[in-house]
Amino acid sequence: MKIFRNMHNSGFSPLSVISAAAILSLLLAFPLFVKTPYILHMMILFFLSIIMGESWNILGGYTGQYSVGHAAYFGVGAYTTMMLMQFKQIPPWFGMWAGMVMVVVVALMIGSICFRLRGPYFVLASIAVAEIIRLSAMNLKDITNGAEGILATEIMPLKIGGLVVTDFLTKVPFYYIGLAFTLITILANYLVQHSKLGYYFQAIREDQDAAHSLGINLTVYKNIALAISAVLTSLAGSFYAIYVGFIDPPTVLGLDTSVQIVLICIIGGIGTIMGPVIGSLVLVPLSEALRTNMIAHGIFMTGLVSEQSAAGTFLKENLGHAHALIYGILVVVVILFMPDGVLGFIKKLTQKKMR
Amino acid sequence: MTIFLQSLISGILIGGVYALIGIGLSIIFGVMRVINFAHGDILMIGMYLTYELFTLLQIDPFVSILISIPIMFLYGGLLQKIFINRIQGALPQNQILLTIGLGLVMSNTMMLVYTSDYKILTTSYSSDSFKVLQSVINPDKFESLYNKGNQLYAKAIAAPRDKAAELLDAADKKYTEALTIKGDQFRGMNNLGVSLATLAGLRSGQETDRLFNQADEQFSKAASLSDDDFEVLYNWGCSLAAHAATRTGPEADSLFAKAADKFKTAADSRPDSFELFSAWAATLDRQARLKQGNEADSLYTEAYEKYLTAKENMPTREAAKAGQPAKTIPEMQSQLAAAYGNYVHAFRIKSDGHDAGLSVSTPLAISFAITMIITIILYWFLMKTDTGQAIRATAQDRDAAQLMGINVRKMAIIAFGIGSALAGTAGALVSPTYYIFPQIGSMFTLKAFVITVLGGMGSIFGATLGGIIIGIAESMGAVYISSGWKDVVVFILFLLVLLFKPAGLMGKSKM
Amino acid sequence: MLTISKLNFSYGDMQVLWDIDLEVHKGEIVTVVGSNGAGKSTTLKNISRLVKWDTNRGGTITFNGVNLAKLESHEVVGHGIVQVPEGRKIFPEMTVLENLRMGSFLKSCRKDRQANIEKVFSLFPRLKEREKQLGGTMSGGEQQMLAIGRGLMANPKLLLLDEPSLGLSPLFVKNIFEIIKEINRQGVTILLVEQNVFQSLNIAHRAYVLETGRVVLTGEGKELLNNDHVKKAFLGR
Repeated sequence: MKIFRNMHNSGFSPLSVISAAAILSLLLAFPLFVKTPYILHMMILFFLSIIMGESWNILGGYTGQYSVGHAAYFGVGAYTTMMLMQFKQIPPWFGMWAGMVMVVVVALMIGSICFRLRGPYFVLASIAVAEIIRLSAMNLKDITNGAEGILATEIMPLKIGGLVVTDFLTKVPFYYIGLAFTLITILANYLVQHSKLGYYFQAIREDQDAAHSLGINLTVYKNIALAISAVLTSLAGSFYAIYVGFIDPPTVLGLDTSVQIVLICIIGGIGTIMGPVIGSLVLVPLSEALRTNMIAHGIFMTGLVSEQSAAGTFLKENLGHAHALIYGILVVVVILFMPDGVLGFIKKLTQKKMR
Repeated sequence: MTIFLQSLISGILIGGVYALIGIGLSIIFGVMRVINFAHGDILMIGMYLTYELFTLLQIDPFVSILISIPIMFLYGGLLQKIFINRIQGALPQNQILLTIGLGLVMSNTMMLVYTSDYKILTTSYSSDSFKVLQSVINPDKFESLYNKGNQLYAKAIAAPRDKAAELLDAADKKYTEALTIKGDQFRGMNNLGVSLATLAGLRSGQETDRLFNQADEQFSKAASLSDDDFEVLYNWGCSLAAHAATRTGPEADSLFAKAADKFKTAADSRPDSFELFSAWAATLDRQARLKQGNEADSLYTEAYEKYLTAKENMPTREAAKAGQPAKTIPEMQSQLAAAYGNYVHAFRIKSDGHDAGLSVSTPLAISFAITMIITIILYWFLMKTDTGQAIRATAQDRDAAQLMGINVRKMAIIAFGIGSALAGTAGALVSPTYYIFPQIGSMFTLKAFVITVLGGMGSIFGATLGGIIIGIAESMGAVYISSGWKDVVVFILFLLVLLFKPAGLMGKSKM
Repeated sequence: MLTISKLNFSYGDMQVLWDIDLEVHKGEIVTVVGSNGAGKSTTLKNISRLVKWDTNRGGTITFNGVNLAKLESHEVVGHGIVQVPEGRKIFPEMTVLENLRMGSFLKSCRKDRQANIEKVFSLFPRLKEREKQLGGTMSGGEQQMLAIGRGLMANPKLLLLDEPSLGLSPLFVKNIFEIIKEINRQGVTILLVEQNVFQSLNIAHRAYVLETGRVVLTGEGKELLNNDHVKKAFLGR
């Protein structure tokens, strides 16, 4: 059985330890050498994307429960932290914990409803629940500010015993927080993959009925997977809220956000630790390039369309707005031509060559 | 009861369109076992197609379906042949993601072409309605008198001067009579006040003064019943200001001051009102003209502030652009004079009466009739023709259908074409009543799921029923809860059905 | 009429058919017998093209000189090969009459539709009584009659019957074999796949015995009935 094989594959090879340590120290030292805010910003977006993807991976990748409603956890985390900070002056590093608690409560409620359903019905239910939460955030104007959203006016400095650790005035503190959260989620994935819990999750993914007949309590373990996944997603939500400083229902609770979370994993390859990393490596630069019109300028440089022509002006003005277009095209291409993601595609190519 | 029946009727009418959306999704799911997440986006494309046919070629949206049905059929067929067909039998998750991706491509392409601005398709009958069951559903006497008063007032303000006075007099009588039946209805007092004040403007001398005083009395009574009602305060202010304009000296001054005071209170509830601030500014302006020196200057400055707020609140941004901000009192005076050369401000009567009979929106009624015709044709096609039966056979047992010589791949293309044509038709039918914008699709996709799950995946009759149930649930939710929560009602209903009757309300029936 | 030679087939990595050679002549009843999992149904599915063709080493299947390997399932029907599938697979939400009508979906058969319906009704009077009933609500035996009747609607030259007696009461089983003989008498060639070895060998002109995906015995039906191996393996004697 495949899952058994994975279980015994948990030893560290010296090479992987060394390369991991090398990458980690590079990442730790990165802001010491690179001070450009824009590059740090890109790195932070990259971390955020990995956190979102790895979090979803635990439920969608290992346990096989395709939730297309993860915006619910992202948004509840973001909203809890933001509301506590803005309306009650509670610093985000406490609010974040409140967010996680909130999300566990929400997740277990959602789980008790949705996990009675399977396959496409589960997907539909997960969307419906996320939509209910989004609409509630729109309508509960007294506590959430409704469609106007919440703008963070200032972030309190992080203090430990009166000592100011950072005042969040540059991007560097966000960089390290993002990196820390990324490591936490990757570690969570690793632990899940190499534990008895992870074995149960994967058994559920491979065959629910068989897992059940092996004595695995489906409801309990699906809910555990959901809770872990949701808590980590809420971390991403809180981080996003504080970093960007503005949230409103469509951006943090909308269906687009849910789809984007799934996409990070699908593009990279689901059920692997590297998948979301690869997915983020593809998605983050691509959507940034579209947003900043780099794609339009690229088209001008090829000489296909002149910047001054009507078509050129049109591209320049509109391509940025339609950055989700690339998501759509990517999904279609990935599903049709590499259903196992970029990682799976590379694996297949190399195997073919080896034959 | 009237409200209940009213929302039931609008629910059923909009439910007809929902049924088309649901049937389309159902046929696709039935034949291919693929849940089409791009369904709403296909509908959105249908909306834009209708919009273009209407604005470019002046084709009525209800007629344009004759063109959009074949176009959308081909579009859907091609989508299936090029994309969806390749994932037949793949993991359901991947099928879902593919259609999500296709939906994203569609909505974002439309955004590229049309930007995300809202488009509105206004036909001559967009806001028309007609009455049914007038003899059955009779409101109480107050409502009926109140409504008659409103109708007379509406006629009066459109009529020539001498005729108007006569009509207003009649309206006054109706309102007065209504108020003898129910003395606690401040909307009646408000409208009576408006009618009296309007009439006052048409009369002269003692008569005018008397009428204005009567109006004042009504507004004062209305305000005591509902002290924060915007319309009452606004009308009261307008009435006082108009009264003041017919007087002179200190009497005028005190009336203007009283009017300004009413406007100030009204501004608390509607700081975004254009009418209020422009009337307020005009009142202060007129009051200032009675004064001299500093007192006049401070009133001018205040008037100018209100004028600027009014300009900000102006409904069209174009109009607000006119003129540079004034800095000196004479400049203010001249700008105010230009703005309020003729400063008769329209009163606002309340028209929330419950009329006899039920009001039916004309475009909704036409679209309902069309959906019923299409549903019947479709039903006939599926039940009686060879191709229709072959589609059902494919839905019921794909392998067996192949063994009958049915080309199931062709059936899948036809089914997707029909589903898309139905979604496109639904798009055409709702375009006179909905805003058109690229992201509207996902809302309809979600609704389509709710409808089909409610009716039982793959059942056409179920989808029709599901559509109508959702229409009713929405319209009842909007009336009895609030329009913001109506979609929540729908989703909760959806979850309940998923949990307790996953096969749908119709049981396990297939196509 | 039908010639299969060197047919190989695998589901994924698991090969289930090995070098099958099989021949059906016009007018015959040929039966393929064997235990569960011997590859009988897979052989039929290869003929009716319900499974993907193994392009590498599939062998050949020809019908009246036409190579079936290149055809799709619905095209095979057009050449006169009609399969009555295992488990009957009638359309549950269609009436008996609609099911029969679907049997003659092909344009070439539609002109004979009414005549064929009469023919089926005379063969199975029970179906006429139930013509308005939904297929899914009928008993197993009635569904089997309907499945065979539906197969006859396409004017088959060769009728493939996959386990027609499966799950039927003994009385019905006998009945079904009588009807198969009757259909054959009316000029339809029959390839019958069965686990009921005794009954099928009894009515067959010729028979093939399949074991673990290979043809192990072939001969005349009656002759095989007396074969020691067949007796031991299938008839319990």
